[in-house]
Amino acid sequence: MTATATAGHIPPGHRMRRPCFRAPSIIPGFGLTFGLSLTWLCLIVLIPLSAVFIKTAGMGWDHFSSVALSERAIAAYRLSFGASLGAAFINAVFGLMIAWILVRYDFVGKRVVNALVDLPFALPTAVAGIAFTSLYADNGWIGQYLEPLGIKVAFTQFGVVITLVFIGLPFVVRSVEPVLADIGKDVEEASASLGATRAQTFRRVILPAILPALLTGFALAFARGVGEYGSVIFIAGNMPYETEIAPLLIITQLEQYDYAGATAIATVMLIASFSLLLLINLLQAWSRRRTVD
Amino acid sequence: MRNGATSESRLARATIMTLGLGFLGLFLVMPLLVVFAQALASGIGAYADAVLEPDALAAMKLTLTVAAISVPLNIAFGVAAAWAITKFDFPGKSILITFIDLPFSVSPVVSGLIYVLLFGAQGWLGPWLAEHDVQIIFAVPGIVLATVFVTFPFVARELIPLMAEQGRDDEEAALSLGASGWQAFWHATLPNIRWGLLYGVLLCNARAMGEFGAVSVVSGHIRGETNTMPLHVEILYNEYNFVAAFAVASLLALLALVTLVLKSFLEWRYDYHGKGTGH
Amino acid sequence: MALRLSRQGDRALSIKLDTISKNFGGFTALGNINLEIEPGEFLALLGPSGSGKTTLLRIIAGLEFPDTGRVYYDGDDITDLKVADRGVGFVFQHYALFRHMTVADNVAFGLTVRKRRDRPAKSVIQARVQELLDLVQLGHLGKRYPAQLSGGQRQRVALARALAVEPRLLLLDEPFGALDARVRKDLRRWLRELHDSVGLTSIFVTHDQDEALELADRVVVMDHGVIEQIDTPQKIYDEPASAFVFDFVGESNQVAVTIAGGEARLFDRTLPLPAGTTLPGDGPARLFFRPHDAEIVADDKAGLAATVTLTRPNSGSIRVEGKLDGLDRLVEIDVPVEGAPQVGERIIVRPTRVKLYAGRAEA
Repeated sequence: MTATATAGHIPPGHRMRRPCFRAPSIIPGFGLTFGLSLTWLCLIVLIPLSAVFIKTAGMGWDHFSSVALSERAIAAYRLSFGASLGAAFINAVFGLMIAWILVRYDFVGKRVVNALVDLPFALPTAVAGIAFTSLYADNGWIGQYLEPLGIKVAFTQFGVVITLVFIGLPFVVRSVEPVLADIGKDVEEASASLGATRAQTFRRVILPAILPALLTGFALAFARGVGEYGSVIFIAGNMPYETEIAPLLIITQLEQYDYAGATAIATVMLIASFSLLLLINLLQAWSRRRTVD
Repeated sequence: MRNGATSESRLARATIMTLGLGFLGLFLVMPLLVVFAQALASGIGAYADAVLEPDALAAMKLTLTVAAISVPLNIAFGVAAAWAITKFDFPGKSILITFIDLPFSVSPVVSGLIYVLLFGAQGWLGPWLAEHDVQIIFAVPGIVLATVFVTFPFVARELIPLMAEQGRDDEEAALSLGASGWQAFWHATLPNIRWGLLYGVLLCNARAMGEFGAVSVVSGHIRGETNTMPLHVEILYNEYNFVAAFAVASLLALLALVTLVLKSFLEWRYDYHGKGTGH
Repeated sequence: MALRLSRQGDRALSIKLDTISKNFGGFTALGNINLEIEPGEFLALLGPSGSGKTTLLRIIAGLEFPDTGRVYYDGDDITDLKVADRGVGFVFQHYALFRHMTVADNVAFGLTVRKRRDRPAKSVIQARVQELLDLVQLGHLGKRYPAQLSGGQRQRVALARALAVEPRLLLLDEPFGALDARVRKDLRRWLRELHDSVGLTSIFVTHDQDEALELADRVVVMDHGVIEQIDTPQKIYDEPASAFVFDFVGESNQVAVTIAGGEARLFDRTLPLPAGTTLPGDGPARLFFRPHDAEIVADDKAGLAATVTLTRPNSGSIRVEGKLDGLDRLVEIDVPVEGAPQVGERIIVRPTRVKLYAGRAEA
């Protein structure tokens, strides 16, 4: 009402209310908390991140492409994205399996297994990195059995995939788990009562229901893998063109004081991250729509 | 027991259990075990030496200091952001939430790089900082900044869904009874969110103490001065001092295990998150 | 209503349950149930929650297996047959529709999961789905998703989906439980017509006695895992076999009396009973009568003395509520509008039709 009232038409007794940014509320503290959050967000996140883009913008296309799109950089992106993709696929399969076990089966030690799934969230990446390197080295616990077979994991691209599987696993399990638990038993019973086999019920009823969550977990694991650094550098071998991941290339440029080169590669990675973030948000919105009845 | 309509055949179930748990054993249990096995490979004496060595102690001290600064900062930010977002309606709220989550999707190395671009010797503020003899990059402030960045979303993203679910009734009731805003927060809000807050703090702390990539970029790797525990592990490992590297790593692994135990305890005791406990 | 489905009366199934029992971790859900169901019958399983009615329905369907006892379809022992191989239609309480499938895909599901050699051609399935959707009056909603439908519409989709596999037995778990009162009444009548026209055997579970009495050919009243009575609705109402059935089905008044020397006594005074009342043996007994099976008599006559606490109109008569003298119990009776008592008035109530069951009322 006040929005349309002009100064001349204000009825007596009505005071003009100032147009308000937020909806009115009796709860205090908006100015303080909103101001604090926004300031902190700008100082810590937004301004520093924008530094990357501003620096890149000042580079000029030729300089940018000579670094960010160099053969060595392309090889690094290919490894980072390819290994992440492979690891995310492996995690989609086994993550779903583990989510299934946690939701559907009762067994001794389930609580321990459930806690353990979050280990990659809690274990510092450097620790994971040296642990996997030790396991898959030629004389390591696992490596010693692979070596005679001619399979090399440590210091190869395969090793990168292995550590990224570790890093990404909880994303898939924790995305799928609640959705799987939310599928009513009656829906599966309905499927069975209509003559579907257990496999048909899984493929036609359960899988479509959890697909958005599974894809979300896949994308989260993939996104995390692309940027991963700490766990990978120990096992990767870090040979240019072969086993050098994109984040390591940034470090290499920095060590040579080539800030522009580092920033150029960082820009490519940030754009990839933000695209993935957008994709994940869309997937989650889709997932939510599907689970709301 | 006969198979009901919604359970697999015994064989299928056994296969799924074997594959799933085998996978977990291979990818989660083995790495954990190898850390402790390698740490103790030369006996308990070598382990103690590695852990009590001055540079190791300095690294522990720095790691604890960085966590002690960055975690409270994130608690303050997380609570403020969650309060603003869940207790009020304003345009652009979902964009704000996306921005808060942003650090999660940025590579740790890039997280470190952005501060080098701002505060490094060639950075925007580099010359000014040098003039005033303030060192941020290759010093503790830079490590804290990078840590705050990578742990930025943890507390806020635990609290926002929790506080949104609880609505505004409690606060409005407290205020209508004459409480001040601060009292409403302290007596009506906090008791409802304390377990969620603790959960967020737990994860935030684990990441703060374990961060490697971002810290690696800004630290400068000066032994005894700007080396956190994960960086110390790296240096020892690259010097082929494996026992010492794994000894320090085992402390970080213990930290991870304690985090997981506390996290499970919170989930179990307060039914917080309620997930993973089956139907 | 146009029902274009062919009658399948000759295909309707007979069912026999032989001493079925089922325990859930020490709790007896069903104890020695024997039941025979005729082909084409419309049967209600009626009881309070926890009475075992849903468990019994799920055992008949093959969603649950009995600890002991056998289930027979047309004389064949199918106790160990899985639900997927039984060919029954089951309608779930909350419909259990597949949320990610359209209505048409939901209805087609049972046909599309058949083995290739038994699976009808796509066009046949499509035609069949349309026929079923028309049958449940949702012919125009095939492309919608379940979330876009109302509760009553979802219910009918669930029904069409169950009927698509041409079951010889239709099982419904609380089919109207989640619907509001108006929709419920319409659907009830419609379901009865459907049953009659399709001509299969139908069994439904309900806790609502009106639903059971209105719809079913026969009603099975259950309590605590045992069958209290199996009879036509009329008989269930008029001749309840036990105190539980009298209490659970229809409105009733209950008075604890003592039987001695061929008389019912209340506070050491003889309570006059209608002629032809059957008395249980000597000892404590429970006397039941319906509100409409009582009259108010002159205040010098023997009967149940009460003080009127409330009167209200009740479809053509007056419902009188009174507190019985010396008992912490209310009595409800229906009397003609003329001469109805006022609140506070003392009345003598005399039942005109009663049932007596030996034993004391449960606390």
